[in-house]
Amino acid sequence: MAKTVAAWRHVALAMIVAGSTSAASAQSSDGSFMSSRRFMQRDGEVIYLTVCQSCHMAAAQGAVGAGAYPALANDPKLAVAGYSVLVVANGSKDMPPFGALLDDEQVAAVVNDATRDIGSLQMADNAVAEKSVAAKYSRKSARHVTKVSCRPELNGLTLSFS
Amino acid sequence: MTGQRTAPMSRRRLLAMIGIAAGSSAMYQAMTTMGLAAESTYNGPIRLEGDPRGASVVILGAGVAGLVAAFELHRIGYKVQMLEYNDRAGGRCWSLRGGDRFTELGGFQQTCGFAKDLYFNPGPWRIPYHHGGILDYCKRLGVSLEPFIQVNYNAYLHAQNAFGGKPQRLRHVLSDFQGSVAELLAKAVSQDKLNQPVTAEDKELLLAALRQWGALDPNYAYKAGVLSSDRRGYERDPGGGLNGEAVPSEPLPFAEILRSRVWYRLALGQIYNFQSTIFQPVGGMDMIARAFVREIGGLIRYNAKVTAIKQDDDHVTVTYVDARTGSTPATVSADWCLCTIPLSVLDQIDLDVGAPMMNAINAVPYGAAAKIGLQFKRRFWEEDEQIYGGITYTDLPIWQIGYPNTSYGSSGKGVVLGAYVFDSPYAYEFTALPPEDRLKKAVEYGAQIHPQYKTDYENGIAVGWHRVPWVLGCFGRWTEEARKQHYENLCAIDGRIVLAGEHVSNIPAWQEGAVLSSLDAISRLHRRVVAS
Repeated sequence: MAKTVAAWRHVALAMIVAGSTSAASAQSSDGSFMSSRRFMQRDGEVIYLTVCQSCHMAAAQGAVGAGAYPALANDPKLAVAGYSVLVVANGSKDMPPFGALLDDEQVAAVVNDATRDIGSLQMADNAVAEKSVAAKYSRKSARHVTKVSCRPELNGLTLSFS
Repeated sequence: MTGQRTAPMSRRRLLAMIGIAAGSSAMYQAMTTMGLAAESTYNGPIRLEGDPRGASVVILGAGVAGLVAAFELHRIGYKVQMLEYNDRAGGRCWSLRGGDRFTELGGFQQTCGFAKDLYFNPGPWRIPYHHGGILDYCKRLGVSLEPFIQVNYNAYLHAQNAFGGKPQRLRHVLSDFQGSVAELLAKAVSQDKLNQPVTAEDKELLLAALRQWGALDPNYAYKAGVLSSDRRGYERDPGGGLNGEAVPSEPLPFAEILRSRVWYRLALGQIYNFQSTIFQPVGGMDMIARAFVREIGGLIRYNAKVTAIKQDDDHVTVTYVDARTGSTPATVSADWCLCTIPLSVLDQIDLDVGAPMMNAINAVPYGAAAKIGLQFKRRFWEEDEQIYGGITYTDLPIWQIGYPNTSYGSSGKGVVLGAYVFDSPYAYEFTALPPEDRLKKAVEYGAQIHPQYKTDYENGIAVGWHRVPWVLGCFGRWTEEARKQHYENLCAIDGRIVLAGEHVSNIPAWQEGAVLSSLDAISRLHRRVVAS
């Protein structure tokens, strides 16, 4: 029986927090803090905890302020093959697109990680499906995002920022 | 660079050549000279002609855009009410001081431990001289300004894998890069290797210019000596009396500068928004918000979380709850609504506008940024390294270290901007960490540039903008495509509702954008009110 996403996240979080007390060496072992242009993490769970967690929080529970970040835990929409990939690659409303910062395999990995306990899809099938969709959409998104006018390192040029 | 073309140099080719030789910012400067670059659209204090005849407006959000609108509309007779989610005004015009608490989404609470009079601006921290709108409000409201140092020739450029990891003074890298490029170009020009339509007369001028620009000797060489040391500084500075003779310094090897890629930061100070003079309010950026509050603070209802914005033919009705409890819903009604709520929040509010504006609201993701303030027990950057204000740039994940541009030479503690990253994986990665770990990382990285971090660090506060409860991101991250498709619809007055803020401007992420968007919105709104 699959653990709930929330419970599983707590375990993962505890591991990460315990590890992070031992210094900056963690940066090179998990791929985080290695590039200012692309995420270098390969593992889906690590990508979640070092990127997605910024907004969706450690247990994928989301958060509420003046506006809210949706909880990912137990959201059946996420189990639909392709939906999550599209959102991660292209963004959605206020959520930024990640298609230019993550490659197809990374998108597939993090989507599989975030959806592994949701719905009734077989994980292996899901992974294959997500990967093919990722291949299709994240590249499209990457083309799109390279034209962002606020990117500080657009084509190697430094643009200004307050 | 050989070629057969003999046509006179076109403007485009001249620009391209300047771009290649001197970097993009030099090209940009040349473009400015040619009148091709944009200028400020601020034309002095706004003049709203005509009587609003008792019209009322509800302003949502007491950030810079909302404060400007309230200030201007109130003074010409509008009945103004403001709703603000926070328990303070200013929005991203924000400073954190000792004793301030900040609770981020997810629940981590930080209490700022800075000593008295020390502060950190988690949001905007500099105001270029040509941001005439925000500067004029500073002037009109009596906000004292002091110079913000963007370029400090004695601060560092640092690359982990260059120069043995040792940070290099900007004056060294800049002088040596410039000198070496000038020498190369002068060689090519004097040997007619460019073989391009620079006339014989212009060739002499170009050579003279390169000599001047690069500090070249009469043989067009850039090398150790008085000329180059007059730029990069001496091995031993000239002194007085006996043994006061200067010792010239040795330039860095050009190849090493090239491979270091620190040239990436050389043109920063030439970017229009980063050109001198730049200002900061004395005492913290939020002095601007505080000045507005002195004028119109009585109009603001704090701790009000907007949940619905409805309109009919005659009114706008806004429903809000207590932001702290989520309960006690109440409404305010007005003839008009100026809404400055960030789109990242507005897209979740029950909002009565047409599809074009709604689609525009949904088309703008919010960018990532993280900023970290660190307090040290002494101003070692001044005492040990003669760095007075300005910014060190590094390829470490902290990107930059900003030294305080105030209280130079004071003894005792100081607060440094220990990290400022945006629109990059690092911004997300810092935000994803618990605040305590963000600080730990910033200190570890910073110690690679200033070993004094290890002994002198005391405390800090770290803001990851996607965790800020009232904006869920740092700024509206427009794409060119989205702007083409949606920007005008975002600006248009929808019935009785108009939007303002940095996200409704062509200067995203700058306070000037908020000011100009607010002035534009209230001008159009007022024309409609007077005409009705």
